[in-house]
This record gives sequence, structure tokens and C-alpha cells, in this order.
Amino acid sequence: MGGTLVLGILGMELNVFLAMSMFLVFMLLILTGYNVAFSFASTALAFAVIGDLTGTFDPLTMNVLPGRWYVALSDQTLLAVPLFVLMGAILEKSGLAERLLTAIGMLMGSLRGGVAAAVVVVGTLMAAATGVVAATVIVMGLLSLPAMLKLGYDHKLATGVIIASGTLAQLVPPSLVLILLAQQLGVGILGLFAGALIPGLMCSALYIAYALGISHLRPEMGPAMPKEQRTLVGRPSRKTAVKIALALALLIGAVSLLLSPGSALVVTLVTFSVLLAILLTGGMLTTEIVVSVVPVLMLIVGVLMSIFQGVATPSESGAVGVFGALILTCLNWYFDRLLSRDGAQHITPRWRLTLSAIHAAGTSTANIVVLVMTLLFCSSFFSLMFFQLGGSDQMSDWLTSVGGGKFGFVAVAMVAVFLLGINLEFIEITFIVVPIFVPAMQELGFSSVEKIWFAVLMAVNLNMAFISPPVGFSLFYLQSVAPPEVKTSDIHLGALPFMALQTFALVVLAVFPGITEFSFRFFSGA
Amino acid sequence: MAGFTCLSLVATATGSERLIGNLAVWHWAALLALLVLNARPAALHRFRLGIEKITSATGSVARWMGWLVFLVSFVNVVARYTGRYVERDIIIGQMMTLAWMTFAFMFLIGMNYGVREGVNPRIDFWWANFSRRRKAWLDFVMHTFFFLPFIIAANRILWPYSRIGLGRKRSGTWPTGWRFWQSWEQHPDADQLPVGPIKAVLLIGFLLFGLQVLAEIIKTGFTIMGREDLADVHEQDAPMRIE
Repeated sequence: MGGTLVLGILGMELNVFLAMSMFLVFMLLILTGYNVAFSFASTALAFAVIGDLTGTFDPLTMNVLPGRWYVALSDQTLLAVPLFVLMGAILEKSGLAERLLTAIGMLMGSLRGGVAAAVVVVGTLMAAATGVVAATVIVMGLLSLPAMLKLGYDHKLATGVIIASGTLAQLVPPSLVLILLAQQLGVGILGLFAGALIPGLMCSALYIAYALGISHLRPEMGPAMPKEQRTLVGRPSRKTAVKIALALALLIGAVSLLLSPGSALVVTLVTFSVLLAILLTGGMLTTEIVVSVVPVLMLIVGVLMSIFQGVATPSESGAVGVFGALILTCLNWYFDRLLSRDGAQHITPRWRLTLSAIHAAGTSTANIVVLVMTLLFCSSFFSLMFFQLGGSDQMSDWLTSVGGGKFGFVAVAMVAVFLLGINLEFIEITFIVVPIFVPAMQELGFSSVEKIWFAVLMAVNLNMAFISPPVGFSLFYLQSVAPPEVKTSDIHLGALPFMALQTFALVVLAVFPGITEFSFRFFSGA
Repeated sequence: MAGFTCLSLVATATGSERLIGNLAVWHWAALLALLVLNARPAALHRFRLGIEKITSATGSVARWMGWLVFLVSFVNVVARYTGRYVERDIIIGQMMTLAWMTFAFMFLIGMNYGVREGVNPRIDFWWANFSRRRKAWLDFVMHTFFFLPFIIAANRILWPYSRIGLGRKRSGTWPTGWRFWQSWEQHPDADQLPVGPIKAVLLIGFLLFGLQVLAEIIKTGFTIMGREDLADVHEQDAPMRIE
């Protein structure tokens, strides 16, 4: 590889040499800490000047830039970004994750490593509902980490499981990673969501198996929760049970309106009686489980149904999600009030949709949109330069000449993404390397299903970038909320077994493309 | 200072005129600005505060736009659902276009705000351990010599693009005079909103973007000079949240 590289440089045309130097300069520049987006534009401009002076680049080509920017702005795929971020920001404030953690933690607490497994379950549910990493990691770090430490969990297992399952939000659809990959690779967002579903659930199953397995083999790492901690004070009254059952039945009925409006009434009545029966026979813990799991499941089903029934485009389904998240926040407040009247000690009812919370949600939406779009604008200039100087052709020549056809290319691509992932974050990687991969993929004749397969592999790989020490956003989030007795080195070491699991998942998914293809065909109906 | 002069001399000697006008002119302008910075810091400081006022204004609009995007998209979904049962196509192309235009508007007027708030990520592998002065130097040099020229180049490209979007003919005439809303560019498909305005916002966004980068240059300039009282440096200790 190194030999070809050197020979390549020696035998290179001037323009290709410039393109490669441009890439190198860019990589060095971002390492100094200059803004990544600005580094794209600055490097590209510098090489545009050099290219103009050496006659290898015609500045008039830059006139296509406004058109490209306009296309990016009017792209339906990117419309999903503000909507799904807004949805996540509301859900973060809703207090739902707290509910889920308490309820499922107690449900599974009797097992060794049960609380850790519960964290994965909650992480997966939240992932399927939001696509926001920060919220999930921070909430779980604040609630589950102290609880697990108190039970005597191994620090590394406790932190690792929180980081890994919080990061699932970027793999399980809907997710920002998938949206951006779909946009950059030019595949349908719906197809990619469908294709990533089973791989995402596979990762989550691996994490659960690991948490339960290692605690079974070494009980001191993940002890079970003692019985007295697995009960909740208070018992919901009949009136409360009826009210909760009615509210949830109406929610389910509303979601079933999307599927078949004719049967909505029947669905509402049936679920009402079933829920009422469950709530009346069960205690506080059963109630908690019902009121936390049912709404989240309904949100997930509602968003998916709105896409598959053709009511919303995949991007617009984010708007359905925002609406659902608002409803869920109100419901949560209502349940809190009802239950705390009946003597529940574990909750304090609080109206969460305050003006400042709404404003904060809008602010984080604006921040993400500006971040993503500034990067996109600047990187489109960079990739234009790279293409004009002949860098793309050269790169795809190299990538296709690796040997081994598609698998060879995928192997090289995955190793490259993994290496970049140690220092860079997913957005940067997506904008830096995907435009380089795309021409090579075209040359190798990737079909649309294979593109989805490749995108899913990228997503799993980028998941690793999220948790790989020393630079990984999930690590930072957890560090910011971890209690002082948890050492940073514990957090870093804790991530390693989960990275191994992700590598395993990556290899399995790469060797058996059928998994992704089945997921894609099954869920998108293609 | 000496380095600056050298760079300006190099730029004068080489300059690629077609790209951003005469590159050297910009460098000499930067040199001049640096001299003013030394002589009249207070005036430059007020200039920067003025820019940041605009930035705050557009930023606070952008921060509410997310909810507007949601409302528009949600209305679309509801309309499409209802349309199915009244057996009529309620959804109109205008609303579909409005959704992405709101999104585009949100980003374009929020771009300058993003620069000020530092939402654009950095790789803080080494950056985190740099001193303030060193950080300021890096930003100052890069902003002045590479990034600001890029924005100037972008504005030079966007200027004709946006004017054509607003209805200017290639011959240089405006068919309806100053009433450009009668002549601005329509969407190629029927039943859509005109796309001229958003193309104009593209230019406005980039102009504001450039202004804010100029403000950053002034700010980092003050930090380099040791006038941190005029640079209002606030530490960003936690990394930006990418969700």
C-alpha cells in the first residue's frame, strides 16, 4: 500500500498532486484545532488560488457552487434534521427516560447484571424514539450510574453499558447519522431506516447478552438488585387506574387512526379494557411499567406508521414525532400527578413544557442545523475542488484497484473510517470520506441495496467513533455527569468491550449482507 | 506585524485576480485594519459590537424557526391525511416548498450566529491545551488570509446568482424596474412558491456570515494585542453537543 502510494505520488500529474496535498493540508489543519467547516473552505480556497496560478484549475468552475448550495437547501432529506433534533430535545425534557429507567430497572433487577441489561433496553427504546445521543447518555448517566454503583457494579461495566446503549440512538432509526449518510450516498432515507433496523437491534441484543453473560460468569461485576429495592411505595387507586387506562387507550386509538380509521373505536375499547384489567390487578410497579413503555412504543409506531401509510414523507415524519413528543410530555405530567396523589414517592410532578424549555429546544435545533449546514456548504466547495483537480478519480482508481472487488473496497473503507474515528467525529467523517467513496462505489457498480448495506456498515463503524477513547462524544457526555469516584480511565476502559462487540457486529454484517437486505426488504416493503 | 507585511508583499506579487478580485488588495486592507486597530481600538470595538447586535437579532429569529419548520411540516401531514378522506387533494405545493424554505431561511440567517456561538466543531486534541493567545493567533491568521477571502469569493459568485434570481436579465436590465417581486424567479414546477427570494437570502446570509467573521477577526486581534477587556473571551470548556 505504502509502496503504491509513493510511486503514485512520483508518477502523478501536477493537478492530482495538488489534490492530494490539499487533502493532506486539510487533515493537518483540522488537527491544529481550527474549525473543521472553515478548514474545508480555507484549504479549498488556498488550492483554488494555487490551481489558478499553475493553470490546473479554472476559477470560473466555482460558479456552480451557488447551484449546489441551493440544491442542498431544497433537499427534502435534510429537512429531517431540524425535525428529529427538535423531537429529541423535547423528549429529553419530558422525563420519559427517567420513568423507563426506574420501571425497567426494577423489572429486570432480579437478574445478575439486570440493571445493566435494563439500561440497554431503555437505550434501545429511546434510540428508536429519538435519534439523539446526548440526551440518552446524560439521563442514564445521572440516574442509572449512581444506582449501579450503589449496587456494587463494576465501574467499567456500568459506564460502558451506558455509553454503548446511549449511542445506539445513532444506529437505530431515526438517527442523524443515517439521515446524513442517506443524503451523502444518495440513497432513500426510508430504505436506509428500514435497512438499519435489524442491525441496530442486533447490536442491542449483543450488549444485553454481554451484560448478562459477564455478570453471570463474574457475579461481583454486576450483582442483582435486592428485593426490598425492587418495590415502589403507594398503590394506584381505582379512579387513577381508570383515568390512566383511558388516556393510554385514547393514545393507542389515535395511533390506530393512521392504520385503519374504521377500527379505531374498537381498538380503543379493547385496549381500554385490557389496560384496565392489568392496572387493577397490578401494583405501583406494574402501573409504572405500563405508563412508561406504552407511550414510547406508541410514539415509535406512530412515526413509522405515518411513513409507511404514506401520510408523511420520511422527513415529515419528524413533525409527527415532534407532535407525539409534545403529547407524551403532557401525558407524563398527567400520570405523575395522578400517581403522586396516590402516594407514589419516586416522582415529583412538574410541568416541563415551560417557555424556557421550548426556547432551549429551539436553540439546540438551530445549533445542529447551523453546524450541519455550514459543514455541508464548506465541504461541498472542498469536494468540488477535489473533483476538479482530479483527486476523486485518482482516489476511486486506488480504491477500486485494491482487489477483491466490492468486499476489498468495503474492507479498506471500513479500516479507514475506523482509523479516522479515533480522532474525528461522525459528522466530519461523513463529510470528508463519503464524497471520496461515492465515485469508487459507482465504478464498482454498487446496487441500491448494496449502497444501503454499505451505509449500515458505515453507521455501525461511526458508532464506534462515538465511543472510542480518547475523543468520543458519548464519553464526554458521561464524563460531564459521572460522580467523582468514577475515574475517566474507567470510562475509557469500559468502552473497549463494547467496541469489541461493535466490531463483531460489523464483521457479521459485512460477511452476511443478507441481514441488512432482509431488514430493508421486510420493513420498506420493497 | 512583520509577518503580515511579508504576506501582503507575497500576495501582491502573486495574487489570483479572477478569484476574489485582487487578493493583495484584501491583504493590504487587513494590514491597514491592523494599523487602525492599534490607533483606534475603541472605534473598532464599537464596530464589532454593532455587527454582533445584528448577529444576535438574526440568531434569535433562527432559534424560533425550528418550531416554524415543525408547524409547516405538521400542517402538511394533517392535510395529506384529511385529504384522503374528503377525497380531495388538500395539500398544496406551496406548503411543501414553504417547509424547506423555512428550513433554508433558518440556516442562512443563523450562520453568523453559529460563528459567534462557536457551534462549528473543532478537533480539540491539541487545541484544548493551547493558550488563549495561541488560539487567537491561529484563528486570526486563518480567518484573515483564507476564510474571509473564501466568503468574499462566495459573495462575488452569489451576487449575480441572486440578482438573476430576483429577475435581472443577463443583459443587465431589470424588466419590472424596482418592483422585483413581479419578475423574480419562479419554481420550475407548477403550484410552488417563487424561489427568487430564497436565492436572495442566500446572498444576505453570506454577507452577514462575512460580517461576523470580520467581528471574530477584530476580537481575536484584540486578544493578540493583550486587550482582553475588549475581546470578551469566554471559555468553552465542555465540547459542543452534537446530538
